[in-house]
Amino acid sequence: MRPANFEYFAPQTINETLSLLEKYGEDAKVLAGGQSLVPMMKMRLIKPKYIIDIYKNLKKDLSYIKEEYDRLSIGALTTHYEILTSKLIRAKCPILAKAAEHIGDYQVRNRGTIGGSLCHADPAAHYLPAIVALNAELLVKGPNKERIIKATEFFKDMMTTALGPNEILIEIRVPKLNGYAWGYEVIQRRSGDFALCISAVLLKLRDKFCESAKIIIGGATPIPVEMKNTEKFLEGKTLDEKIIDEASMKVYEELPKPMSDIKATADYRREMAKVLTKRALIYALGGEKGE
Amino acid sequence: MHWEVKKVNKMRIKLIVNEKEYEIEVEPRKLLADLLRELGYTSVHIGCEDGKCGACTVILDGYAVKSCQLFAVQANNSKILTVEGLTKNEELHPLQKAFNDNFAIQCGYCTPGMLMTSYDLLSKTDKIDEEVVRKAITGNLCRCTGYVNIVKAILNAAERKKGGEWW
Repeated sequence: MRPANFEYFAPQTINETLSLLEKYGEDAKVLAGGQSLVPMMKMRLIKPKYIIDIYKNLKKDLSYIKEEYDRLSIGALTTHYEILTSKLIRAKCPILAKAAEHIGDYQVRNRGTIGGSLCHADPAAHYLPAIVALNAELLVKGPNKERIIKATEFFKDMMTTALGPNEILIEIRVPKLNGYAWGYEVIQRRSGDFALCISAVLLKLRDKFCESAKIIIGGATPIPVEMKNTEKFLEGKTLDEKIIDEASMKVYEELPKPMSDIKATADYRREMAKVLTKRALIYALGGEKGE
Repeated sequence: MHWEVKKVNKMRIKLIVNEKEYEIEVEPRKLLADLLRELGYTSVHIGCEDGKCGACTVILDGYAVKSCQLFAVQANNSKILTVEGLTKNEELHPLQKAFNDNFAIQCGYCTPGMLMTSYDLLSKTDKIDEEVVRKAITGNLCRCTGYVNIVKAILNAAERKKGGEWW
């Protein structure tokens, strides 16, 4: 299908982008890689009057992966391909590379951006649970000021974020996974399809003794959800097969009512949250750690 | 039903397709795939029109992308490579020869997309094995071959590239 017509802008600077947003407000949509927005426009699910293409001229400024203190700073227009192939990400925050690996297909990863994916906030998006588990910080810029939004507070509802109508996402800051074990497991019907359920796990381990745990389930509910009871259950325990079984059962019990749609029922998603968490915990214990 | 028809001015854009320069006026909503076909690059196949089949894959500024998922205006001042640009002096590109020699084509509809995706893969990745190839072409659907000969062809093309037969 072909989209409805619109007026197109390709601003040269972030300030120019912000003043366009200020001028056109809700009638405008910011276009990054366009791997979600363009299909939605083609299906005429949305008909923005104005398209503000930030990828065109700002890609060179907002595409980077930098090591800063105890964290990595990632430009909002960094593509999934760049994240997947970054040596820095592989070494310091591999869970993000693992999430990027599952996104769409080769061509989509070449064009789609991490910032675009986060702002689109599709419940099935692969980065979401990983970003929340990492307790990432999102740097956004509005007309007069910059502010930091915590990933845990960024996602408000399905495809809804804390981003103001005149703000854009500039940078994603994730901690280096020093000494943390991690696991990221996802189920999708076929490669490149939407995720039905995702489990992202971070563990602070001393041998197999769990000092602290973070378990985030994505894809099952409108926004990623933290498994707080399960985390508490794991903390202070030496992890073995039995504990892992019990922990995944706790996820099954704790998960709020999952979504039910044509791709999977709520019951199936709940069952998968259990299975994926078990796999993620086993993977985390299996030793592949961030540095 | 009432449709609001929005009048939008055309935009002037510049493109370099297979080293040939164009300056054209397009509506912002014009898809890159449509524009390329209108310019005569009919290797750009429109299969699903929906970003699922990958038959419209072209190389945009060095990256394989689906041209039906981009507006032509997004490609302003960009370089595009299509299958037409692979051949040199009427001679098939080694990648195309590999497809030919390995019977990787049946109806041929998916072939241009397969060629451009694998061209991008081979130009960026040195370690090529069957798994890498199969993962790379998940965004390119083929309904005839069962992929076996396509995978063979791409692996064979990687050999040819190693052997120095490439441009």
